[in-house]
Amino acid sequence: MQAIMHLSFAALFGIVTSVATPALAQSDAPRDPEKVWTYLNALPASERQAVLEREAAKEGRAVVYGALGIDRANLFIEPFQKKYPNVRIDFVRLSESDLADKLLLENRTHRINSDAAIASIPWLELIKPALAPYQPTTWGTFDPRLRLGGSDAGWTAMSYEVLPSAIAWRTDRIPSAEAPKTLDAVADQKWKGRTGTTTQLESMLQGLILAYGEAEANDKVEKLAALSNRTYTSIAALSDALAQGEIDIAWNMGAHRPTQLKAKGAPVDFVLQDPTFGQGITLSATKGGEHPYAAALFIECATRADMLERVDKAEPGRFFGNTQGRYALDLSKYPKLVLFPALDRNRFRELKQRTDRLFIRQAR
Amino acid sequence: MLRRSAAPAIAVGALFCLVLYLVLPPLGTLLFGAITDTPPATPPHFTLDTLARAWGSATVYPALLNSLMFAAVTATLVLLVGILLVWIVERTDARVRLMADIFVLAPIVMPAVVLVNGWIMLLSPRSGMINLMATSWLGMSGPPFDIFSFPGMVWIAVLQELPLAFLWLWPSFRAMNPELEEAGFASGAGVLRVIRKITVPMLTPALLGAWIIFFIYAFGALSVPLLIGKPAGIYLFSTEIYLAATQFPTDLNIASAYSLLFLAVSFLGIVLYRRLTQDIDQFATIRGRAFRPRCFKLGAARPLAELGVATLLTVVVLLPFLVLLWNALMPFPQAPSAASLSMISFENFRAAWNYGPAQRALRNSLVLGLFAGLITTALALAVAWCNLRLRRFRRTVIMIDQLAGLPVALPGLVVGMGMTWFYLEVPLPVYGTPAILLLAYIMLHMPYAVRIAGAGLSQLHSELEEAGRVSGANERRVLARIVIPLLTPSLLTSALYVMLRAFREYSASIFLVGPGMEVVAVLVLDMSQSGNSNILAAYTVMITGVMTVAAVVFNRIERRAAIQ
Repeated sequence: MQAIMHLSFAALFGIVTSVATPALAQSDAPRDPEKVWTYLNALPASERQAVLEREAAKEGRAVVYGALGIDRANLFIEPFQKKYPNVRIDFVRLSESDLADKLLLENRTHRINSDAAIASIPWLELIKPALAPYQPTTWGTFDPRLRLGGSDAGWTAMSYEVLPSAIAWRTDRIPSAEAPKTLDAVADQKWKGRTGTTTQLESMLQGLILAYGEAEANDKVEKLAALSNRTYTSIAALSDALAQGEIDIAWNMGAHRPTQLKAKGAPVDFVLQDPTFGQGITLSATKGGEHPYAAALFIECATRADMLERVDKAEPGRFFGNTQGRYALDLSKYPKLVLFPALDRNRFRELKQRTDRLFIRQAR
Repeated sequence: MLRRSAAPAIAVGALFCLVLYLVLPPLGTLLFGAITDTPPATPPHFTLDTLARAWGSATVYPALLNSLMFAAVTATLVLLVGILLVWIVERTDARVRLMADIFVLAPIVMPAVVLVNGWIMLLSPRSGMINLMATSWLGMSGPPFDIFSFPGMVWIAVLQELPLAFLWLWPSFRAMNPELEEAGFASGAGVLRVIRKITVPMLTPALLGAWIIFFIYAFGALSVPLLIGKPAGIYLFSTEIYLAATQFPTDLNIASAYSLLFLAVSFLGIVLYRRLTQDIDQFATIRGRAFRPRCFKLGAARPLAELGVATLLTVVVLLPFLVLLWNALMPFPQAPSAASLSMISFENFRAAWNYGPAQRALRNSLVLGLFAGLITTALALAVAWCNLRLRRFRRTVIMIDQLAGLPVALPGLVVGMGMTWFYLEVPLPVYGTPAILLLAYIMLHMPYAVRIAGAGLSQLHSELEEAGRVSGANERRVLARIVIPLLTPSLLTSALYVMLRAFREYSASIFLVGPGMEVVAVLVLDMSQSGNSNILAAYTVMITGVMTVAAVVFNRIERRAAIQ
């Protein structure tokens, strides 16, 4: 009899708590931006989705600032809008420097217009005061290298995709068998005057230092600099130059570009550099945003494996952070992937001066 | 009676406040940035280290020298070619009016990045179409042209600025009084002698004023230094500012310290311009008596002149446009070849039309551009009129004129940052709305509108207004019935120019756009940076079509309104 009583009590307690928790959650979902993230991070995954959907519907929209192409952002936004037509995502396209300046300026003046931000790992050290500590339910499924910050650190960023660096060449001018497949091969003086790269070489240099140590990295970089590379302000411009035939070889180029060119029929081929370097693109919630639940729901959606698989199919040539998905490029096969790290201002300035002197300011 | 006498003071005071309100946020940011080493909206740390760091840099002086040379050569060539072109169009019997209309409008509509890329595709030493043709068809041993050089930079800059020169000089040529020229001919002087001894001296102040503006414009140009100069290792002063403000770690303090020089150059330019035009009566060409500027008969030289303008039009407009069109039809950027002909498709046009907010951006840009054009021109007329006509409140008027001219020296991104900071701090419902973009466009283009309106006004003799006053009309009526109708060509030129320039302004816009407020220039930048250059080409072809139609309509109205 006592056992029955205990069982009945336990069953009753179970029913009450299972009914009461969402009810409590429904009534207790805080609006205060400071409390939202603690509350959400504490919610179990099974309950969080329901809370997010309900509260996001109340908010009705989220503003996402991004240093990312509109077409690329739409790969995430359009499926989200289809699933949640009552939560509008407004995407504001910015350059990386504008994104950092705008996020920090809004944060300092306490008039925050954004709810989420798409940036990249090298900028995180600078913008982290403006980022919220939201850990989505997908946090645990991400490659540990691509989870940055944490609720304890007071900010988070998830590198949902990584642009691996590639060496690409024009197949109509260089037979693939003869094309350089490593940076050492690119540095061969026979390619002098035929190569191009981007002006953002600081991260690359830091990556080389991490991979080879300071002395060897410097030696490699000086040999590359001796090629009289043509330098371009963006990977997109470098890609166009390769397609137009201004250069025959492009190095430190995101692999997604030659992948696209090849798919469109351009006479271009490529290999990933060895060791492989990568630029991580990150997604974070913004501290103090007006629509935290809608932002969190968007982050949940954008970091899920099925979403990233879909993005990979639309535009391959990248690594993706969620380990539960299957992608064209398998991140687990690149254990030595060197991510371009977040750098503080002084280190960045120091590296920049060095690469500027070697590559940019040199007389052609 | 008291109210009546206080009205001009109130009007001038209001104008001063309005111009100050427009200029102060970015100007304040710039000055504040230069004397602190802390970012905006943080407790300031005042120091002269920023200035010392900026001006102690080893790279800044060679860049400054390059900029001075580049701006002087470009402004001089632009002025010379501009004079020749406007003279052929306005003062001769050459049948080139339609060509001139297209020539003036099309390059302004084409985004700078697209125009420069078009020239890279034509004159790049390794892949430029003209170079490829020269080596393969003419058997040359090497490429005859290298766009990545100082002459290459000047070439594109001159082509970019020629439409501005045309718009700037056209009102002066259009409204020239023929009396002195007629007297010259009556005394037996030939065409060249009349031009050299009468026409040129009569236009000298306007021409010198124009040269100053072209110089300032070339000094602050960014697209050519960045896309052509930087790959060639030629650094200009504007490149240094751009790099300081955009490359990680961004240093807006250093960018501001550099920009102070722009301010100084601009301020000096305006002072010089004022000196040149202070005695306006001797340059006034529209007087009370009816006149018709003499049309020079070119005779046998006419076909030559027409061919020259047609060639210029081909080089300035048609060649880059054909490159653009070619790219719009291709799946990826490439030089024309027999193999590539099979790849032609209209897919990029479809993709461009459906590219995120492409249609909304076009709508937003048209509306903002139109409002910016009209409001800026109205404001510019008020500033120019006070400056050239008002004999009272001289100090205030000079300050207004100088304040209105300063934005020419403010980099777009400093404007973007300054206005963002200002409107985040003040409790006005401007931040995140289209109003912030409109204010930025008005402020950025005010110097040009003031000069265009001023150039027109300086050709208008005050005896017409005096006649109106003698007949009992008050100032408002004089302005509405005499000044504005006679200035209509200049005012419409100004409105059109501001509208088109606002259409392609991106460096401030990208900082100021809010959700749903995308504008064409920001979309163009997005397409360019995202590697969608062929979709960008298709989008630009469509935009160029829409804007050319709009601009031709505008231009027709302007010509109809011009003095017959």
